[in-house]
Order: sequence, then structure tokens, then C-alpha cells
Amino acid sequence: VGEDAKEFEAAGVYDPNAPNAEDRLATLRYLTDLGATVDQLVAAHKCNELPVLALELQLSADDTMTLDDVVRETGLPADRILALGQTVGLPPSDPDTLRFSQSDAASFRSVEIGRALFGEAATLHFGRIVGNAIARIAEASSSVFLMQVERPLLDRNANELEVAQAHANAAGMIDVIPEFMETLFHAHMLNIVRRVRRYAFEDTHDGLVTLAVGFVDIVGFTPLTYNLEPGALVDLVSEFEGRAMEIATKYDGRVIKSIGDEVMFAAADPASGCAIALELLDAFRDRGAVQARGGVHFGPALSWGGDLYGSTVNCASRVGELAIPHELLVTEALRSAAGGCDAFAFEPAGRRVLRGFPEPVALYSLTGADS
Amino acid sequence: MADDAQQFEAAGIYDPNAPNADDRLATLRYLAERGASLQQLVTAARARRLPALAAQLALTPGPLLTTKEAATEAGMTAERVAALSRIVGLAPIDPDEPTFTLGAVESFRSVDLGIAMFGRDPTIHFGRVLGNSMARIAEAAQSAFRVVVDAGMAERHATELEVVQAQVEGIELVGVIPQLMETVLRAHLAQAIGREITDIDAAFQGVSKVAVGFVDLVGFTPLSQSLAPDELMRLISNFEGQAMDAVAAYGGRVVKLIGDEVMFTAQDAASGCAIALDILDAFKGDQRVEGRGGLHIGPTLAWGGDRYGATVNCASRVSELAVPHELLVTDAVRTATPGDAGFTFEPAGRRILRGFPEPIPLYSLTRA
Repeated sequence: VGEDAKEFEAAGVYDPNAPNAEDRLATLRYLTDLGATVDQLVAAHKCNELPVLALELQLSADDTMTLDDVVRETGLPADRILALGQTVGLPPSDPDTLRFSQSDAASFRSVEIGRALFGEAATLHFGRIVGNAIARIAEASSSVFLMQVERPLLDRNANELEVAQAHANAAGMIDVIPEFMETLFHAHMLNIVRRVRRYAFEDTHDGLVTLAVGFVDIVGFTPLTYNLEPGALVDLVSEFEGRAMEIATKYDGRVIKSIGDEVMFAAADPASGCAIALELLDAFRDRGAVQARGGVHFGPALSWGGDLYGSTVNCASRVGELAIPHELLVTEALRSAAGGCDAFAFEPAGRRVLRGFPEPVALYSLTGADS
Repeated sequence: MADDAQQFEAAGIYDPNAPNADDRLATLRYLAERGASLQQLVTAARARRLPALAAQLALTPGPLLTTKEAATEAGMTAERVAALSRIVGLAPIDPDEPTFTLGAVESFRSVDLGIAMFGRDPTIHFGRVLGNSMARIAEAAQSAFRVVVDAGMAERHATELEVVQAQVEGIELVGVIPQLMETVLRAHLAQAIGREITDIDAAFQGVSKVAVGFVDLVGFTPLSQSLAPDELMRLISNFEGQAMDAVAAYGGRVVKLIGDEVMFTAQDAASGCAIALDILDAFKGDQRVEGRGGLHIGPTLAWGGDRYGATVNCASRVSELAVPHELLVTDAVRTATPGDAGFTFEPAGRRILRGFPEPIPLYSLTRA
């Protein structure tokens, strides 16, 4: 028996007489090679999560700086650094256990540069948007790993060492995500700059842009959430959201958000707004219990923090609520903006009072001209 | 007159006798030095988009590849390159237009790696989530720039050259955003992983038990119709800021913002209660809008960074029943909250929730 095995045994994380003794010893040695201390092994063992420690160790490999180090390096006060953490969505933690990488310190510095240029409020708001968007990516990564890697391993009774190794490998996959993000961020910035030129948006400087805003939802989704297996539910919402994103992209629009069974999208061009909604409805036409409907409006909206606000958005949402299954309702404003386009047929659908709006609005039921 | 000025004049984008002639010439030269072709200058000047051209040039210092070139470089078909770029939310482009950076080509290659490891559908869905999040951050950066920097320039009647230079400086600042994203991603991953440790019950179907809350602002919709854009922006920023800070303070997560409504999750009932009450408190003194909310706890399905299932729908319906300043919670929340957590649960009757078969008892929650 090696020295380390005795140490593991004394710490209560290894029992040489247990049926899985060899596997456990190999796992503990593997983790120790990755840099785990006995204390870390004990803590991870207590919550039955030895393999996860492999991932934690890999992820924190570059975290060599203490809070004091970062304060010295950046010249920023400690409470400022902790407040920045909260701005990007992280809970307050014990300052003594916090560890940072050189790259973290550089990020803190650049936030300060942003503050000098854009002011406190805009910088904080932007930091929150970044934190929220990235938290979604982190959660999505963690779900994919849990369901696509860890679960199959446990299903086939993989041993502890294999599971730990899979976690360490996951860190390698995680390392490519920032590169992806950088590439995509860059590509999307370029896309926006080009779009600004393409549609010659008026430079109003007040954040207002005139565009088509639409909502499409799955009718009767709530009852479906009881009847469907979790896996089937995931498939349905992924498919719905995925199709929406793909179709919006095709017409140079964007899915602004998904709200369970509903997507909100926007497109600079009114005809594109119509085409996105129609194509999405078509994609869910012959699906039995799953029926889609939607509403589109055209007008000025406040574009801020990657989201859209104001009465144009509210109006589009209300119009969508009035549509019957398979129907796309649009407003008079959209009809006149997309007027010259003979790819669509606008059938009058009456005037309706929308919740929160004083005047009744003229609506049209929209179909493709050939349907 | 210098050669370039004559060229600009011949192209119809420079008039030496115009009042702003010096400024225009300096701007054109500045852009030409940064690699703008005469054709690009003409197109941009005619559309009055010289600043946007500056931004584009600053964004793409390296060579750009057409779809076909990118396909050759990545060792895949042009159709596949187009399909991959659609997945990450990039608009369709003219296949002959130089669009892709070498980095983009590199990332296309690793998609196949992801598919091999995680399967096709999960990888594609992840790509979409990633693309959509990046588009959101890019739009946020752009709108901040437009509203804060551009507006300031317009106000003090900055010269064309100054506006163009500000674009370039702005893009240079944008260059630090990826590093910030990496820092934030690592921190959030550590969080997401740490969460799984406390969450032994998390079934591998992706179902885990969390508290789900909705808080919205009553009176926001009519108000948003009448507010000036900058006032609306302040109101929204304040609401989102208060919500995100309260959520972060208790280790929860803002799942999404829906206009005047926030949906969040928390690891336990007491944290969920504290978050919701903190947000309501932040708007107690506001004369224009009033907060209200609903909270439920139960199994939810986590996928693509979102949460799904009956627990989410229930929480949303409960919040719709709350009166202004009220936080309504379910019996599940009451039972899961420790007695010494400092909250008072006052019975608020049994109610039928839209889409749910049975009436459920609700409680009005306040701090003890």
C-alpha cells in the first residue's frame, strides 16, 4: 500500500476493503495529480461529488491571485471589485476564499475604462446584460454536459475514474467556448454595423428604431407541459425556439427572447417581419395538438440593452393574443409598411380594442398570397 | 491640391468649396489610411454612413473570406458553412461577399467536434443559444454607444472626423468585451457546477427543484406609451438593475426579462422570498408604477439556459393574481420555508389558475 493510500484512508475517503477500492484509489490519485488537496478530496467526497472536483480543479487552474493581489494589480478598491462581481450576476462570496486569474484582473480594469467613457449607469446596465447572457450560456453548457455526457456514463455504470476523467475533459470543451463567443460576438457586431447601413436607420440618437415586432406562441402549451415527458417537452421547446431563430436569421431578423411557449422577434424590414411569422406558423401547421399563432406590428421601439421596449412591442404582444390557432394577425401599420409586397394577402379582421390601448386598432389576417 | 483630394472630388464625395470641406477631406483621408477603398468611401458617403464604415473597418483588421473561401479553409462545403452561420444567428449573405474571419472558420471546424461529443441536436441548440446571446450583447454594446456617445457628439455638433474617430475608439473598447465575457463565463460556470453539488436530487433528465418567481410592474404598459424614450430607458434600467442585483445577492439567476416583468430562479424557497420582496421594496416609493409578484417551488426542466414546466407556469399565473405591492406564494413555498426565516404567510384564499385543473391555496407574503 502506498503512502498516499494510507493518507486517504486516514482522511476517511478510501476504504481498502470496499468493493470499489481500486477504482476509488485510482480516482483519488488522478485528482491529486490534477492538484487536489486532501481537504478538497474530503469535502467533495462528503457531498458525493468526487468526479465534479476534476472539473472545478481544471476550471480554477489559472486562479492564482487573491483579492488583495487584484487590488494591488488594478488599483481598484476591494469593495469596487466585489460590487463588479454582483453587477455581472455573481453572489457575494467570502473575500478570503476568492481567487482570480490575471485575465479577470484585466477585465476589471477594462470595466473602469468603460465607466470613464460611458458613465456609471450605462456601464452597470451593460455589465448586467453581459452577466445575464453569459449565465444563460453557462447553464446551457451545464445542462448539455449533465444530459449528454454524465447521464450516459452513469447509465452504463461507468466507474468513478471514468466519470472524473469525463469531467476533466469537459473543461477542455469549456475552454473553446470563450473563443466561440469572441468570434461570434465579433461577427454579430459586424452584422449590426452592416444592418445599420443596409436599412439606413434614421440617426435619432434617442434609441428609437422603427421595425417590425412579432410574437408567435404555441396554443395550449400549458396543458402540454403536464402530459409530455420532460424529454419530449425539451424537444418541443428546443424545436420551436430553434426554428424561430433559424427563420428569423434567414430574413435578417432576430429572436429577441423566448418566453416558454412564445417567441418575440424583430426585423428591420416589414415584409421580413411577415415572412418570419408566416414561415414559423407553417412549420407547426400539421402537428396535431401543437398549434401556433402570432401577431406582428410595425412602429418605433426603444432599442436598449439588446432588448426592445415601448408601445409597439406591447401592441404586437396584444395582437398575438387575439389570434386564433394557425392565424397570423397584423396591424394596419404593418400592412401599409409592407404594402407594396404582393407576396402576402391581407384579409380584414375587424377593429379590436387592445388591453392598455385607448383606441381600437384595425387588424388583418395575413396569409401568403398563394395559399 | 493633393492627388487623393482630386480623386475624392472626381468621385463626387468631396467639394473643396463646401463649408465643411476641411473636415470632409480629413475624414476621407482618415478612413483611406485605415484601408477603405474609394468604392467603399463613395457608397458610405452617399448613404451618409461614413461613421458606420469606420466601425466596420475597425472591426475587421484581418482578412475576410467569402463563403467559398471559408469552406475551402475549413474543409467543408459552402452549403455547410452557410448552414452553420445560420445556426449562430448570422444573416444570410451574398456568398461572394467577404464575411468570415479566420477565427470564424476555426470555430466552424470545432462544431463537428461538439457534434461527435454531445450529439447533433444538443450541439445545434447550444450554438443557437450562444449566437443569440452574443447578438444580444452586441446589440447592447451598439445601443449604448449610439445613445451615450453618438448623442453626446450630436449635441455638441462634433465634426465628421470626430464622429468617425469616436467610432474607431468605440470599436477598440469593444475589443475588451470578449475578455470580460470569458471572466464572467468562468465565474458563472463555477456557480452552475457548485449548484449541481448541492442539488443531489437533480435527475439526469434535467429536472431539478428550484424556486421560480415572477415580479412585474403594474402600470408600466400605459406609462411606457407616454414616456419619452430617455425616461423609458431610465425606468427599464432601474427595474432591471434592481431585479438583477436582488437576484444576485441571494445567488439566484435572472432567467429572463419580459418588458416590465422579471422571471428568476433561486435555490431555495427562503432565497426566492427574499429576492421577490427586495424587488417589491425597491419600487415601494415609486409614484408611477407598483410592483407585484408570485413565487412557487417545485421541479423544473433546465434546458438551454431556460426553465420549463408546470412549476414555471404556476408561478407566472400566481403573480398575475397578486394586487399591487403584494407577493403571492404557493403552499409549496410556505412549507419549504423554515419557520425562522423571518417571513409571515397570510392566507389569501384558494384560486383557480388558468390552465390548472385544481384550485390551489395561496398566501400573501410579508417580512415578519
